[in-house]
Amino acid sequence: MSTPCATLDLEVPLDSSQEARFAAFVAAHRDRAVRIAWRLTGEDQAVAEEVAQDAFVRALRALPRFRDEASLATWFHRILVRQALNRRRWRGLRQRWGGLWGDASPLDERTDSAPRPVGDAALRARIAVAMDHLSPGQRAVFTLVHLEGFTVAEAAALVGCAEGTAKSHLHRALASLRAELSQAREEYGT
Amino acid sequence: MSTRSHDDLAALLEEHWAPAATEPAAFEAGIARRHGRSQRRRAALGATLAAVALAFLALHLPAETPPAAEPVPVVQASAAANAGAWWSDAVDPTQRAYALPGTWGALDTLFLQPFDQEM
Repeated sequence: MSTPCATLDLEVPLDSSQEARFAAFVAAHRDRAVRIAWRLTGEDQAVAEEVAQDAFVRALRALPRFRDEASLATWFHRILVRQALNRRRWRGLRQRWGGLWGDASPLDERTDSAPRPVGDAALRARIAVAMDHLSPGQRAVFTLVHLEGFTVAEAAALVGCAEGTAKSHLHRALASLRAELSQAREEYGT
Repeated sequence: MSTRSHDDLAALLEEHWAPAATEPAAFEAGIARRHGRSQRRRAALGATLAAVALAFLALHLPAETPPAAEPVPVVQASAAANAGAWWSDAVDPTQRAYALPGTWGALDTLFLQPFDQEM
């Protein structure tokens, strides 16, 4: 469970009620935001935290525009998902074109200092490979619906596609993951 | 695929494919740091845009605005110089306030004013 934060040391003219509101919002959504960013980007913990922090900074700017927390949370998750997908897209472009200029990606050099994710390392690597075989849309919809508890309609809105497209993404993602991870499921008894 | 299959797959990933727990204080310090950087970047962008706008205005606005009400000296001079000309009695300097100084004023005096008189 996340720890509530009394105040944030922000260089922004917020009144105390707004600052407390934002601190409560961060405390309520921090863990889930990092988890979503980690699963969508497929990178290390530091990158996931950066993506989540950027989304929270945008939420801070947008805070006065939203009166209720539900609409702010919906808007925040949409920003978070799009930033994570953009990050993954840019990473793919860098990997594709980086070799032409001999550019070593700095993102890949800091994995040693990052905290270790939970779970068995070998199984985690197999899951990561299976997830990498999904398209960005399939990966996002599967993660949001089956791992984060959003409805298909909500996931479609977050990813920015039609509900029918989201259902199609979900169906294909499940088929692909089931095929790739069936043996692992038997080994780990789930 | 059965619902059970979905649940098994989700449970496997939920258990074995999640990030480590986030340290709240470090995370919130990261938000504050990023927000400060974002504010500074926006302020620098605003200052740059203002400087570009000022430079644009400085380049494109005239250095000094010519007086609107006073008659242009060239016109007065040309009117006086042409006082003996056959068309000079009809020259009204106040009607020539739009005339341009310098070369254009001289051209106006030489060619356009006589033409105006003939018309």
